[in-house]
Amino acid sequence: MQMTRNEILEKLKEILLSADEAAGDSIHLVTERTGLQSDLGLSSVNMLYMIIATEEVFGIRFDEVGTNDFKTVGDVVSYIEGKL
Amino acid sequence: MSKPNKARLFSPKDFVADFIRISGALPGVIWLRPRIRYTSDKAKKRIRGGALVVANHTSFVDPGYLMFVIWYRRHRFVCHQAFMETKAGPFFRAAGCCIPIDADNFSINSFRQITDSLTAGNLVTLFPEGHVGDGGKLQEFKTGAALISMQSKRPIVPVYVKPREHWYSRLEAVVDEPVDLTALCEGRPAFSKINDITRRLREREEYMEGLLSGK
Repeated sequence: MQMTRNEILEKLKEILLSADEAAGDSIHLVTERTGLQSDLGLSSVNMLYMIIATEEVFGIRFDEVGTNDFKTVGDVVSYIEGKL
Repeated sequence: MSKPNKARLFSPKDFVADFIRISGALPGVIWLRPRIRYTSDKAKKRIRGGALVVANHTSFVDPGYLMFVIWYRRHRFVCHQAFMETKAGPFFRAAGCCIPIDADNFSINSFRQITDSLTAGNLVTLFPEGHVGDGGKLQEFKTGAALISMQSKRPIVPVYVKPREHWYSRLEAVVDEPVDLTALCEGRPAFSKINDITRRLREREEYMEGLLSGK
């Protein structure tokens, strides 16, 4: 499955939106430079949730990664891009 | 609920863990004289198959206490990676009764290890406070337990262990009935749902604390 970075980003936004509807406005403004913990305030459990959901949506499997390995949304996009 | 492991009280595969459990049982029973209460008749039923036991964390010997509270099952304890790096670490690693996690950088593999253990029918025990409580007071719960239970589709069994005042005090604990989150596993639950379940779990712990303190 070939996807552009922008398509991956949009799908990630959908995942985040379904997880946290209350943060809808801030998620719509998410760019690749948005910090996962610093800007979106995701906890380590939220990050795990996002990884699990990403695996399901993109049909990929994350290798040995920790919740601190991704600092920005762009890091996740790059990882997914490398796996697709 | 999955089928229980075929290995019962003793298994050659878990020789070290079972040796500790069995050889430590008699002195433990005499010293602790456990007094276990149940919140309902349903809670009295023995736990079969995979289940996630969540308990308050009052001291470093809580894992030992929990082995006396749910004595008929072999526990797998979720513990800090730092603990496995102490002198006692290799011993517990050999016993195979610990699932180490790095609290500062929780890896997806550790998470999978926990959920796989649960789906294999094991009893996994974790302390959602994440550290030993201040003077036995209940701390805030981390939301990981709810996520693990939802992902593995195994129930949560809340347990409250009363902090012991003296070395000769009896061990007192309350076991609650299993909480099945399967109904909430349809689709992906929102963060708010996971937070809500965690809050309710903590409320159950407070309720059980109240049962022992007579509040």
